[in-house]
Amino acid sequence: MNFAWLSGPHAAYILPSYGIALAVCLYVALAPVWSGNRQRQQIKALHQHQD
Amino acid sequence: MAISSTNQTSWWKRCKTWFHRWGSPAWFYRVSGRLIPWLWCGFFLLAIPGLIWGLFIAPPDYLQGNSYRIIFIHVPSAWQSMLIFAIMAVLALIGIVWRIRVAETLAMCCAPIGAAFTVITLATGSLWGKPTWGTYWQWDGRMTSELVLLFLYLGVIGLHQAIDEPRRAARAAGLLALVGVVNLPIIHYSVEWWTTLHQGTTVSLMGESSIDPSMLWPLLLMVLAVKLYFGANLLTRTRNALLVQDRDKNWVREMVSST
Repeated sequence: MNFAWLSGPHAAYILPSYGIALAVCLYVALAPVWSGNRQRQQIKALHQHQD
Repeated sequence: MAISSTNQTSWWKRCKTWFHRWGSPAWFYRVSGRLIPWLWCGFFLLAIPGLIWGLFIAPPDYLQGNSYRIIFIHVPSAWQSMLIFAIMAVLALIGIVWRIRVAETLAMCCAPIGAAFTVITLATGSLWGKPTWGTYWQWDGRMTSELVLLFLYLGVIGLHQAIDEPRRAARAAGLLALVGVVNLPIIHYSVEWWTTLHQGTTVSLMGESSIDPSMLWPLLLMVLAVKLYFGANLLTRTRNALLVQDRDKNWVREMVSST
């Protein structure tokens, strides 16, 4: 295992790259899960109101 | 001979029925709900070893040193950003020609995921450019055409949201996606057509790759992982969209009341 680069000059470019990718991927993956749960609750409330 | 022909016909019929079932929102919702956990499992099973291998096991590049390790996120994102646009255009074409609502919805749900991969490609490419070329940005063919791809994605998202009626919105944005496909060969061949800072093709599906296998394998793991991530995300977004579109239909009523 090569961890030496973490203290080298290129870490300043590699770590932000993976940080940005992780942040964007997490947001893009979680946003539809949150909105989906909210939408299901809203639809359920609408149906209960109609009934 | 007659038996073989009958078998072939029934096999073909089963295939057609299976394919046509995907056009039913209720069926799509049910089946995609079962697929999503498997796609996420596959994603983690490929992405975790891919990242560990790429970041900590693969050797440094003889020319670029360790900065090349950005390749393991940059290249899969770049390929995926282009692939998603192509998938979006095909789905939009199916939606426009055969008026299949699930295809229209899938096409529109591709756009935000594709835009996200394009942002990752541009950001990581820029961060790779600084230690490699001495600049974060250059208006060369590859970078500019990838930026145009981001604008096309934003155009599709914007146009879809600007029209109230969902099916008209999907068709209008789908047309833009079809026109935007012309940018894909420009991105791919930009490094051959123009003198660019961006390096030429390193990994080739048809010919011989110039990348060492110790770097190629983690890269391929990440490429596959990103595809599974896209699949899981696309299905989740499409399920949400179909649920909202069909909120007054019986299948939604039954599904929501059972959860």
